[in-house]
Amino acid sequence: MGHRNLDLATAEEGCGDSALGRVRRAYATLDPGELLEVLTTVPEQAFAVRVWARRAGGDVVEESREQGRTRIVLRRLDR
Amino acid sequence: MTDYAHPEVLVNTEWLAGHLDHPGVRVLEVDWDPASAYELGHVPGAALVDWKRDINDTIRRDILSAEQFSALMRRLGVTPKTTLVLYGDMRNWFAAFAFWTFKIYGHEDVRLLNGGRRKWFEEGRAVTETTPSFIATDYRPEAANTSLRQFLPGVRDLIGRADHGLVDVRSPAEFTGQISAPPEYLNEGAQRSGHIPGAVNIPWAQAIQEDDTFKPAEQLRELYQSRGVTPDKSIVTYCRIGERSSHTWFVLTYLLGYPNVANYDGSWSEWGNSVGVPVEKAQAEVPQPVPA
Repeated sequence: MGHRNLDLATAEEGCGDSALGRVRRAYATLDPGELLEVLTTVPEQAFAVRVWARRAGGDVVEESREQGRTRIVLRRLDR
Repeated sequence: MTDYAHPEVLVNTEWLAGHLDHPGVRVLEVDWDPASAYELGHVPGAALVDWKRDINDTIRRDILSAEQFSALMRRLGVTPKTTLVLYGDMRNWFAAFAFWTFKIYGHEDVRLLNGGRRKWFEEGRAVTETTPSFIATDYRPEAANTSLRQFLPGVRDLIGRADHGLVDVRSPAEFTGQISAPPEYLNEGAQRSGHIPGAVNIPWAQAIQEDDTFKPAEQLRELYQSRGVTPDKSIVTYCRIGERSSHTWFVLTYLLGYPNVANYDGSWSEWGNSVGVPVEKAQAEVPQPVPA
């Protein structure tokens, strides 16, 4: 099963692009069953990923928070 | 917040939490991308202001007209006496832009949530998906204060004048001309890269702390004055589309009390695509450490 990573801290937020926008784009490239690991130190971003995944029908496989960094693993269920 | 020139324009999260039900306060979340922010959850009682739809004229490239501003205020149940508290996505950039436009149209009591949406969530405060509704009001704006805004011909006339300062708040890579816009922003590129001649590069984020709240006044004063951005000059701020520069416009105008600051919202997406205007490419003038 494929596994991709997206660290939201590595890209500077710019006008015209949101952190969740980057998650959505990465998620859209997944194959069914493939995992996307999202890392963020910003609670607002973690909240957005969590709520969006629920609404988009994605599966939050794992969520943990360690040393101020949240790790959310999403699995694409359909295509 | 008392060391700022106009501390009354900032509210902190604690103040907002205590005024959510205040009848004279209207909380507005100003988003570039509501689907990634407001629609997922927002401050209880906050109404959405969609930056692209509500703050811009969707036909001309322009800020909303006075009539559109009045219609927006009426729809949001706002009277000229209402206290507007703005916050939003993208680090409060678009909230700062809305603040700037609301000041152009003369709304008296506009405030910015210090730290914005990020800090509200960071502190684990209440959020909701419920959208409020309001009874429409009859709102008539003041005459537009055009001194808060600068256009391309005015900026061109400032080049080389010692009594004016240009502040480019974009990233060093944009300022030096390595890129005209990050590659993912297909609609914001320009024919040429670089900066307006004579501008100094002070990226917007240098004005905030790790939790997105503004730096203390003393640090802000040192930041700008050490780069020649002093209150005796007329200052123009710009970025790529005018929203990050609204943030710096807010800092200079309200936190430091500079008397003459205008935002050039045409910014690089206009200047870098225009015929007959000069462009400068150079290293970003970042302060160097003093040798021991």
